[in-house]
Amino acid sequence: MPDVVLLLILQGLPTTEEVVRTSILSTRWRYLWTSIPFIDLDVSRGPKNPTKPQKKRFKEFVSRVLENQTLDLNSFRLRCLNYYMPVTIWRWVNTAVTRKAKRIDLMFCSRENHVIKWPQCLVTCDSLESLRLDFYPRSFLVFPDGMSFPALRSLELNNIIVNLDMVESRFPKIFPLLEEICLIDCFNTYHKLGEVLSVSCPKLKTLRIHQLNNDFHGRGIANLDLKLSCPDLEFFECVGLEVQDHFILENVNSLKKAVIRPQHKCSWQKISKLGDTISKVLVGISHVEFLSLNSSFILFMKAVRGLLRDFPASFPNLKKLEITTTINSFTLNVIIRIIRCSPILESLHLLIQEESFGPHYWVLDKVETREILTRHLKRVEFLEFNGTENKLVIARWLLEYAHALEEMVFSWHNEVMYHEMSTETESFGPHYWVLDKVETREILTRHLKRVEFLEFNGTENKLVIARWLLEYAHALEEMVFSWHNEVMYHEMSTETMNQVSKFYKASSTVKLITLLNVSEVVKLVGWVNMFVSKWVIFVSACYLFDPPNLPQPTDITFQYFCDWRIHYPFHEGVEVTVEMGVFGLAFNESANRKDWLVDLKRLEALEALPAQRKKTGGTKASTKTKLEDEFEDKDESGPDTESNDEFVVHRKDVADDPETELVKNIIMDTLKDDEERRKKQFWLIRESSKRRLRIRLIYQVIQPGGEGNTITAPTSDLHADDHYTNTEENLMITEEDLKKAAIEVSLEEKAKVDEEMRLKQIEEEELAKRTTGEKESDELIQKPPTSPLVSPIIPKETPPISPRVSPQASTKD
Amino acid sequence: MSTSSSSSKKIVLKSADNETFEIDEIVALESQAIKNMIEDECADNVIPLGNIDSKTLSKIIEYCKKHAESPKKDDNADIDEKAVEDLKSFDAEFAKVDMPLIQDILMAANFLNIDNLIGLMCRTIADRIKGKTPEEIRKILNINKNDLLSPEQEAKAREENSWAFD
Repeated sequence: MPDVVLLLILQGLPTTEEVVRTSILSTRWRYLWTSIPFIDLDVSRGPKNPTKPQKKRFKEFVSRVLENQTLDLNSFRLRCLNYYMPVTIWRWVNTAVTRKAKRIDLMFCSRENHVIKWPQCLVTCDSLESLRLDFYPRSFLVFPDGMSFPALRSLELNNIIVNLDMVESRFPKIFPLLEEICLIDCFNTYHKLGEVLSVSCPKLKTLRIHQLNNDFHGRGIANLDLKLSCPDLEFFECVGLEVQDHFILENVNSLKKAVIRPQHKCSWQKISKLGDTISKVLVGISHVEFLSLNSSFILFMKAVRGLLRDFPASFPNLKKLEITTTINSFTLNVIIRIIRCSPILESLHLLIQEESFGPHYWVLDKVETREILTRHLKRVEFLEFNGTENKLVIARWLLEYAHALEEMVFSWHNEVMYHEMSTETESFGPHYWVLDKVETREILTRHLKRVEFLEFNGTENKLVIARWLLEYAHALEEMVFSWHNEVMYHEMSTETMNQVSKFYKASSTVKLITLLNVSEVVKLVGWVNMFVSKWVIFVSACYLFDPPNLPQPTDITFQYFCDWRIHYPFHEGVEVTVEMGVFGLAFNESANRKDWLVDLKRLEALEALPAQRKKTGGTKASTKTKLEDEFEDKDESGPDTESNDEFVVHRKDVADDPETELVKNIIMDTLKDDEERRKKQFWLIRESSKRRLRIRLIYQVIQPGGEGNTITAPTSDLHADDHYTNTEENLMITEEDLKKAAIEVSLEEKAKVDEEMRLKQIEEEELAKRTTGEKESDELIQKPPTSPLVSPIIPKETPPISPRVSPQASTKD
Repeated sequence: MSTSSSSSKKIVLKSADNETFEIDEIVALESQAIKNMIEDECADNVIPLGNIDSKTLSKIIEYCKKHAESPKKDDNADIDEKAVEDLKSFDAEFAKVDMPLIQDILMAANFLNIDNLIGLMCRTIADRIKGKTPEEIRKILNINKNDLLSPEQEAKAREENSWAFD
């Protein structure tokens, strides 16, 4: 391969450390790395508490990497904590600048409120296009005279105290090409009350101001009166801002996206004075396509005179609206009002906060209100859900009327609250609905596609519910029983499984699924044999394992699957889904990322198994991307075909996927320090479909010590609709969804820094959107059961994994 | 040349093992090398590609077809997000082949000068060697044993940048 190509490969390696490590590959690779124009160094990737010699080695390394090269630099990223003096760091920066670096990204620590002089070398850097500075703790940065960044397009400052007043008038001159400014937790010195920070940049396209930390004598950038005059501005984001008398958006006619989420610390007196300001802001942002507001902003609207009668603005271009809101009656009126003024709205997301002011809550019984609110409602999230009646009423109501709704999320953040409320909320599930009213029942079941019994214990009342649901829920496709307690499982299994088998027999359209812990997988064999024909056995087997007893749980499981596939020819339509993410996560107690790769290798081996059966290259195989392995028989509608030997195997290579990697890393980071927790770890991979409504319940789990062995299974309905809906569209979404999941994880982590967050999915009910849902279920119902059931009697002894156990296998043989 | 007139015109590519592939000219134009040949009018009806076997060539044609069909980024600023996503997932799926084939595709793409494909293959290889030991990387990249550094050289290389090797 020519060097150019090798260099391209090298560029794909994320860190400079890794790039440099290729120098020992061969003589040819010895100095290749010196031609890479990207430098990314981070001292924290080394040992946790580096010794002096180690610090020295990093220093030498930085110097070497910088000086060893003769070509121009594309980017220089350096994270070096507080190990080096600013003078050293600036020397490195200086080298980077002389090498005409286009992007510089620096993070280092100094003493609190330390004054850092903007280094002379940076002052007139004409190659620099992007600059990011992050100081910790907060430090002063002094702008010298005569500075100019003729090529700078993007500037991000974090945790920095600057004297913006000094530069604001010269802004266009200093940064003639600036397109993006981000000020995160920045502060302004010498600012006098009532002074206005006016930002006027002719080319500015993005302005983001975040103030999450505001403890510097109220001098945060976001505390200033603000005046924007940026004709090219497309994206304006302002979070944590304290709305002052002046908040002027003039000449922002290109604005497409606005995120305005001010903080709410104002007194009522102050709010009442903000009326004019707020109406002007509304006028200023009136031509946006995307708007995100929070409850504080809505609250401020109270001050607008005649708000509800003659709303001060209309949003002719608004397509997407996201509102964080409380559920007191005022907010509803405002939301309705905004929607009314938005003729081409396509999508509405509601995030429902803990209610702060009672006692009047949303009343949604007026037909008109209802219609306006729900016409475009796509997503509702209940933040810090506490299961109170008010919210349940709204949830129920929205489920009933919001036809466009795609997703509803309940998040718990408070553990105590969860424990207190979960029981009650559980009755928000089947119990509550089922046994009360016929009407409620109908609403619940109309689109109910999936039910999961968490920590199923085989008690009579749950069995009753299960039976009831099987009887009435005509759209039901899947019912999951999760066992978590081994003892309980042993005690109850035979009886319950028999019960469940009866259910299975009774309902031809429902997939019954059990989630068991690893030690139970073997027992599953006996199970599997019962589920002939086209039902899915979904094994998510490793939520809970005990390393001493089962040193390599996945070995067992994979082995199991391998054996199973070899010895037990599949019956028509039996589909086994192995949930890749779960396997990978639970795979090894060392929680090392490399294990994922091992995992994948193993999967590759699995994939290569019965080569003659494998159907390769089919269009189906190539269009499916899923995060789990999936083995399925080709033909599930034709019951009598002898196509048992044809498999479609498709797999998404987890390691190759940056989003998945991200999610993985987040999980790994959350879990790596804690052996105990890791045992209880779980991960969920959700599949979403635009055509389905998901209800997720998220809560944070901290199990009391004694109950360490119980864990809620992740539930992911990865396969539920594969056979019945347009597979391709269904599956393509996984990646996006992971991304979403990752974001959720990270956001929640952020929100609860001190508490280690873990997400747990305790319940997932899926309802299809009405139209498609009904269609699908119609199809389902019309489809006659294709093959008779094998006797649903549970073997008294759990059969070992062996071909002899399976009657099907023996007939094949 | 305009898309409409070229869409009907066919180009025939011949692989090393004498298999011929007839493709639309628009697909062939994804390759800068072929484009130059066509523009210089030194392309006969059949373009022989003596260093590319048919397996590799058919993969490359698959890639070029997909990318030729997809709307180009510079066509208009308002690109269809779905099309971009679609292309992305196609690329991801396309790259799921074994290492020898990836290297063959990469060499061929380099020869045919198909920038996107070179980039895709290089990223794929980089992802596969990420986090691996030198020994594993040598195996993946099929580095000749004769080219290895001598123990002294390797020790020196490690010493020079000891931070990276800790």
